[in-house]
Amino acid sequence: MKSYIRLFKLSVKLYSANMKRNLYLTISVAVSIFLFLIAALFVDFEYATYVKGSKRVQENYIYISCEDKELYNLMQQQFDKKSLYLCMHTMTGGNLYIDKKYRIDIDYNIILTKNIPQNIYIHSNLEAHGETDNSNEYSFEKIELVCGADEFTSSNQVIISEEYACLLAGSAEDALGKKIMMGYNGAQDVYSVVGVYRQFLTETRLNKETVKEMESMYTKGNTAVDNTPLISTVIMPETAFSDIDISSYELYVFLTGKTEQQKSIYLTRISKFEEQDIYKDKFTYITPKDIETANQEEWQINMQTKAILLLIVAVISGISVFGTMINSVSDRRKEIGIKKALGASDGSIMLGFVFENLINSLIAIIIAAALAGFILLGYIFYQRQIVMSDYTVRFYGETILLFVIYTVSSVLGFSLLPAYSATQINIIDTLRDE
Amino acid sequence: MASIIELKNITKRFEEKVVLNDVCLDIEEGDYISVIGASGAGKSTLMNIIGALDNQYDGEYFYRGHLLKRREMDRYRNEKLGFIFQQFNLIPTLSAYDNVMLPYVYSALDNQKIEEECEELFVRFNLHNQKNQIVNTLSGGEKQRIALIRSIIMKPEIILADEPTGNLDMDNARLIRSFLRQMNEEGKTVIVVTHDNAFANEAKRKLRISGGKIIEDEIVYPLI
Repeated sequence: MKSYIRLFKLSVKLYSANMKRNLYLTISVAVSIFLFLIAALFVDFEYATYVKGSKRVQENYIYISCEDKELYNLMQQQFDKKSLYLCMHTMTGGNLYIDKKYRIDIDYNIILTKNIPQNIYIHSNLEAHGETDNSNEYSFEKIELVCGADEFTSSNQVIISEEYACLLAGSAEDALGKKIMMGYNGAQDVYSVVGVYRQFLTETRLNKETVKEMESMYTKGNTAVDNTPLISTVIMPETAFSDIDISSYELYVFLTGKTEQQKSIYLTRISKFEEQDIYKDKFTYITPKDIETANQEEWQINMQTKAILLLIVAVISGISVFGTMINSVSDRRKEIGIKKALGASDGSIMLGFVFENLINSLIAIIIAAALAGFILLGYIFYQRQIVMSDYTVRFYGETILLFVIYTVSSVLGFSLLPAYSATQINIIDTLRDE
Repeated sequence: MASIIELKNITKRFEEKVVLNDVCLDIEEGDYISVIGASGAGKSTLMNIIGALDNQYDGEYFYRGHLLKRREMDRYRNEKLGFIFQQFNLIPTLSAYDNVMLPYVYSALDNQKIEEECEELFVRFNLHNQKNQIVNTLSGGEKQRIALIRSIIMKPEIILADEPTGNLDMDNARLIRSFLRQMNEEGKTVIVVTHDNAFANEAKRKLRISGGKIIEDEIVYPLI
């Protein structure tokens, strides 16, 4: 063991002495590791976020998609109206965004905004967002009416969030009956506030600082903080969107708090629809098992993606390690000859090269990990603080295993042959070299 | 005295050319042998075979009566032989100390006092200030003294020197000659290849090689 330690120490010294020559190798290995880390961890984090979201849907919601409005209305009647919730989507500046994917046409639509909106934009391209069962359905928020009505009698009525009401009128009660100007579909219109609701804020939608700010606002007796960019929600009647052609209707049944018996009743009702031939082609019910299967398929895709990535970077770094080491062996013939003359065995000559490559790889890993970490931290910050998504960071054992396989193969696999060629040189010839 | 090295019927060929022809040689423990001869006579080839640097030959090599096998040669070189080369053969990018310790790095032996012994040798050869300097920055004389220290760091039984004074000025050449004499007096077997007759005459035994054969093997009597 002590002789291995001595050999390792010598390898460190030789590596430092040849640092300039090794620079190309270090950079190329670092780049390949960096590419792998960035891509693999990005794929993992996206997957973890997706799984977390889908699990929440799996645990808390029944998701049904209907392609027929009549069927949709029939379906609605099968559920307790108070169990149907939806709250989505993001916005920037003074514009409002509604994503059809998240709309439920029960009595109203819910729209999120920061400040009093100037314009409303409708996202009508469902494909652009992918299929709902493949999306992260984590943005549902339960809401509770604080005051006013929870129904609309005209299309120019809105229900607004408590924090929005505070901004508008100072308190929820004072906001009732207020008229607000909102832009929608290229035209401005006046809307009357008929209700105020409270949103159950979670860290999944808002960063901690904003939540804290809102909590403090509530404890101050609904006093608005001027110029505070809060996320608010405006609930508008379905009739306000009557001119929009809805091709697909999605229903989310909120299950949290329901007894097993209630859940079972819901499922029986759904299955009855499912069984009817006339609805068969117009009806999609995503079961928890479907979600589980989808997750497993996603995981397979995830692993395949990483394996392909690994193969690509392994080939790139392999060629680089191999080429650089062959050059290195050729440049260091005299040194190898001296070592052999002094009694170094073929094994220890090879091990010396492997050690040097190991040191090189460790340095490359540190550089690559630092860079990748820096970029990923920035991305995580962007996702959590700017986009405010529930971005999940999780390290999977399989990825680490792949990484270890990659490192070992690049350190050992690609350095063994050049190292072996080093042992085959003729001592006498090399000692004669000037 | 018992043979430390015995070469039996050694023949070495380079392609068709016979460089050593059926050479037999007994080297006794504590001997000081000089090998002389014209260029191309086979001196260095013989030295490479004695030094186990070359194992492609016909014949047998015995160390203390044990037939040396090829797979034993690395360890044999490491533990039993100390080399002094004309070109110094130091690793230029390493420090003097690391060069000296190189044989120990590749040794299976564990010597707790090696660093102490190394330190003493650096002092003895007046190189303690150069110990941590990169070899590239040192003079020829200093490099040769480092090579001397390296040759004895493993306390070898046999010291082999191939034209050790060839690249040195008179003072440094004198130092080498005195070093080899001293090593021999301390009981080590010394074998040196040289062109220098005066140097060769310092040995106890002089071998003359010509045409791949030892044509003369004489005991050198010290001048009174």
